[in-house]
Amino acid sequence: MEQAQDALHIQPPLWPQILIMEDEMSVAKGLELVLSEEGYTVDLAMNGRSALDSFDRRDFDLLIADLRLPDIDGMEVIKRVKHRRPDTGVIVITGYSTVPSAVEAMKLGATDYLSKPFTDDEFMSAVKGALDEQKVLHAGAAQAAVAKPAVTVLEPLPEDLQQVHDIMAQIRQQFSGTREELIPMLQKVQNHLGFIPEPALEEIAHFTRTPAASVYGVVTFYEQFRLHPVGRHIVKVCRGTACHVKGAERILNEIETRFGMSPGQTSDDRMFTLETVACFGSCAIAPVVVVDDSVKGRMDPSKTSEVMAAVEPADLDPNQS
Amino acid sequence: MSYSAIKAKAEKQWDWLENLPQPLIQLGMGTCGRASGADDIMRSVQQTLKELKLLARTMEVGCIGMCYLEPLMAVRKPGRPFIVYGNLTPDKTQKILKRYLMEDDPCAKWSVCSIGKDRIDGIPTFEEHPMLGAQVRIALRNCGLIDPGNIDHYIARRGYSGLQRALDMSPAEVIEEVKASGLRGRGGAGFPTGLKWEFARNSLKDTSTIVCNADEGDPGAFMDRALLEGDPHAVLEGMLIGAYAIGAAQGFIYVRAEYPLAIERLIKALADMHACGLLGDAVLNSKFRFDIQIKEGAGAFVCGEETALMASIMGRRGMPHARPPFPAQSGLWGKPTNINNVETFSNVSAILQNGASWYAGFGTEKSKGTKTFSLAGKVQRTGLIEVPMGMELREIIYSIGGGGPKGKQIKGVQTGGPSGGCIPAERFDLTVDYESLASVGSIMGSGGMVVMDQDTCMVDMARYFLTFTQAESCGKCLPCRLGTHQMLDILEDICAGNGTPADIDLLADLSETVQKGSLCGLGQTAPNPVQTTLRYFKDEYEDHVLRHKCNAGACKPLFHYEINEELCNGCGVCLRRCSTGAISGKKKEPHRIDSTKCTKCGICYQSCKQQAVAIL
Ligand SMILES: Cc1cc2nc3c(=O)[nH]c(=O)nc-3n(C[C@H](O)[C@H](O)[C@H](O)COP(=O)(O)O)c2cc1C
Ligand code: FES
Repeated sequence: MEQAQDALHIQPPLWPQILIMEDEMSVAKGLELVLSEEGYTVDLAMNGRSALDSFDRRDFDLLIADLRLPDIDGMEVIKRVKHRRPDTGVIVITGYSTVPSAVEAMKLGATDYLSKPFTDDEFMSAVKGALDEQKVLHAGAAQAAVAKPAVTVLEPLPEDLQQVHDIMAQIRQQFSGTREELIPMLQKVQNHLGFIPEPALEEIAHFTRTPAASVYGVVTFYEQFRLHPVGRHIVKVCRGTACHVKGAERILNEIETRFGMSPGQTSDDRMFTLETVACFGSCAIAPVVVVDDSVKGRMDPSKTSEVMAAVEPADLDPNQS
Repeated sequence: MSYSAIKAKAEKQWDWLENLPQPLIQLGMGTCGRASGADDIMRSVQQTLKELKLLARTMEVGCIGMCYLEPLMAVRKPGRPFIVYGNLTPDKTQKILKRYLMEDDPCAKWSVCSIGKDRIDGIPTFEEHPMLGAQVRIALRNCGLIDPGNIDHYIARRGYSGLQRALDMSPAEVIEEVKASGLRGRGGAGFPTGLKWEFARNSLKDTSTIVCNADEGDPGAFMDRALLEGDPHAVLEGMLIGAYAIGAAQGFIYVRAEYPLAIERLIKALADMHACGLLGDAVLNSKFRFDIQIKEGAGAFVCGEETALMASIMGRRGMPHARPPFPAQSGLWGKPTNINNVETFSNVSAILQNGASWYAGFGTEKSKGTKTFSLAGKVQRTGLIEVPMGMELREIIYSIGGGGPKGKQIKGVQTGGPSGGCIPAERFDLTVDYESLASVGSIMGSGGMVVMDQDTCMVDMARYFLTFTQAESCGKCLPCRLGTHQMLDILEDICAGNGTPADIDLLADLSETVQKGSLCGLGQTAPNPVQTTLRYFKDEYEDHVLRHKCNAGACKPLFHYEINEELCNGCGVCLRRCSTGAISGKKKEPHRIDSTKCTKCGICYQSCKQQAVAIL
């Protein structure tokens, strides 16, 4: 038991290093306290310049960034940090929870967005989410060496954005705009477009009279929602217990070597986006792969490749994109 | 409409179907069936009937539970029992229909069993089939036997008679009846359902709400999906009875987004209920007013937890909160809320239809009734089963499940999902009920059973489950967040071949810390898979850290494949299937694996009929 207690307190280099960039001393100290109580190693920077200096001195796993700083714009700091060390996690906090800044931060690769005031719990869950995501990225980066290039984040196409207007018109007819309709509305947008474009999110926030930052909070919490466009076909590999026992990992490896994608990525021709799911409830015919809406049971690595290779020639539907 | 009116109408339709003068062909169109090609079979049936110029009816049914044989079809000639055929291909389907319908050859060799009164020579009856005979189907009473999209089929088989009986009783009497049945919640914790309803009823302020939890997040479990797809009204009737008992006017069903077919079936079912007067202002002409709304989940495991689920229904982040307050005190929008699982509700409708003492006649002293299990992993007959509580694991896995794949040794079974444990084959004398599974460090959970054989590495399983819990931990408390993180790091080290003997002890200590120190159920149970594998499969951990070997062939750095030249007959299957060109050899001569090219994908190991590929 003692050994375990020790283990929980051995910190560097195992525990994530976090930098808090915040000009309000009381807020910065408060966050530092919460984080260090939870066992993280924390540094403080009171302005943008000293944050960049800190990054010059050493790497941090996570940057917690206030956007409004006395010297440099917080967004600029994020941009430079991401440029230097792309896999740094970023959580944005701000008193001005305007959608455009949230969107810009997300585009720069921020994992989450918190608007003041927020609770310790909300803060800790955002921190944890950001660190988890990073872990996935690390794992992906290690494997990317063998694969063809894949894209992690796609930019929306103009035609996607044109459709937002129509979808929102439908939504305004179908829903009354209460808070509990938030998730169903977001689902409707995603069903149509495959992702939730920023203008739609903004309009839904307005329609439900919910702060845009809370809508972001909901979107980032649920695994289902995507803020970026996806490939023409979505391939989901089940990672549930039954599928794991029956070799799901081998299927993922195959897709990785053949198509150059790790989970969350889109192939560079925008053909496929690869996702994993915790269980499709078809465990009796494991391992399971779902291509678009079609569930395929009893798969193996080579069958998966075949199915994926056969997707496009079979439905050369020019309207489908 | 009154109950007797809808019943009369439904029975008329069922009678007509029973006495159909033409052949009736049923096709299993659940998700498993479709994923195995049931749509192609449906097309083949229709085409064949057209070609043969035969008048026959087709009907869609839900999952009968024999998923390993999907796609399935049942054919009934007038006055005869159904014959079930499995593992169909379009070609085989055509042959069967031709031979049976035109030439009266029942194609016994392709049949699975018969369902109905008489028997057909050479074909076992439903009761004689090893997977079906030992089951007692209460929650799944109609699955695979009726058209789930047709409310009349459900009503004709005594459906909604339980609701009518409840409406003739006082709410307190209904609660007493459920208490007397001994029913415990099937969502995992096993809390007595009647007692839960009593709490909800007693804290009645104005109106309360009832929720059906169909989030089914445990990977490896699919009972709730099959039930909603195969017999949605059994669940909905239970929900109505619960609503009447606790005094709720509004109900929600929270369904995972990964279950589109279940959602489709529910939408149809609710529309039919409205049409029959089973929902709305005067349910079955009584004073009871009730309506149900479907809420689709959005992919977060923790939303199966009741407080998180309620946050999600209200359009918020699905974060659990500490209880109290319990949902029965303050739930959705601050009102008393009662949450039950899908299977719990299906049992409720059966209890009200048949009486509490009938139900209490099944099961053990503390665990009454039956439990559904989804049997998956390395077992011959995978699928959905329902057995009386107290059955031995051995009977479930060997008699019903048919044991492991050919030539493979079963190592254990994992029950209860990520919060459960791995039970070794030596303990298969254990009975399934809430208490006895807990006694070996596992849990009943929602009913997932994943069987593991010699090709499953138990260290890798422990690592797998921790990856899951670590990712789903909400991050609120230190032991769960950092402890699971560190445990996962250690397990990853061991699986990568960098483990030391000290790691094993550390893992055991950490498990205890996390178990004792975590705030909620997720953290408290997260170490279960590690603790049970450490307890029952310690030798495998030792193989990994002392001998740097993974004998199951799962941890890639710790094994390699070799072809045994004496067993290899040079058939060339592995060579053709290997995607990296690592295998060479002339036809009919022993092949070789080039270990520098081999990615250890395992396709050669799995596809070799001679079992010449060895894990070293
Ligand atoms: C992390 C977590 C996940 C859960 N997931 C589910 C689930 O998927 N389905 C379910 O019915 N209950 C789930 N539960 C249990 C529910 O909180 C709740 O106890 C149950 O729905 C009550 O129904 P019952 O009394 O009919 O069992 C989960 C609990 C926890 C802690
Ligand atoms: S574990 Fe893959 S479908 Fe359930």
